Amino acid sequence: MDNLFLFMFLTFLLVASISVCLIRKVLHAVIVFGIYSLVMSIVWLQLGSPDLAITEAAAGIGMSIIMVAVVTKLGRECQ
Amino acid sequence: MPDLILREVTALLLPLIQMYGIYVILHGHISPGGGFAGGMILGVSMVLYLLVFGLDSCLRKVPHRMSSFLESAGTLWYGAIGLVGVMRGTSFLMNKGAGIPLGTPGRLFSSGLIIIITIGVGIKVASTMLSLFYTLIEED
Repeated sequence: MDNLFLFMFLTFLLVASISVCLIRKVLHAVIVFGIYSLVMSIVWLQLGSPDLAITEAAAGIGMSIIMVAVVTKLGRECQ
Repeated sequence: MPDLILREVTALLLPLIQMYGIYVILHGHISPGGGFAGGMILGVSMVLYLLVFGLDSCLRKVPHRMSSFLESAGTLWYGAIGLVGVMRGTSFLMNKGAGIPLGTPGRLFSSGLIIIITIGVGIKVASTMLSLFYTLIEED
């Protein structure tokens, strides 16, 4: 059962990382990237390293999303 | 961003986020987490304050010079604590062999120099995130 969950998550990671490259709108790509980081932190937890899961949750979801949003001036695009 | 709901929710959540970051830093040696993860949570909370309350308000709380200074001071703190082992006559970063009391395993103050080093790493990572963001925003 654990292996099934892990397989589903890894397949999702593959699909998400390819679709981030293909999506044209920046806002949608950033949202998919955030979901990618969330699933990645769950995968770290499943693989038995909660240390990396905390770091991935903070760095991937929090920091990189905000940083991408500021660098690409996402707020201007949304208005 | 003068949004009322955003400002009120941020003012409620910010102390909890920072408290959790300090908890992760201080319990780095007995539970998952540590200096990098806790410092990242602290840095994200300060960036959240910057984005919601504006750049001028954040610069008044933590000036750019101060965050750059803390960034270097965290690294120097790591090296200075490492030199304690050299001063006691053993190798660099030596903890138990240098005769430092370790305490009972599992308690909060139980690992000698590790907790002191972890606090320095946490301060360094948090201020690095903040000064990186200052540099990105002030570029415009």
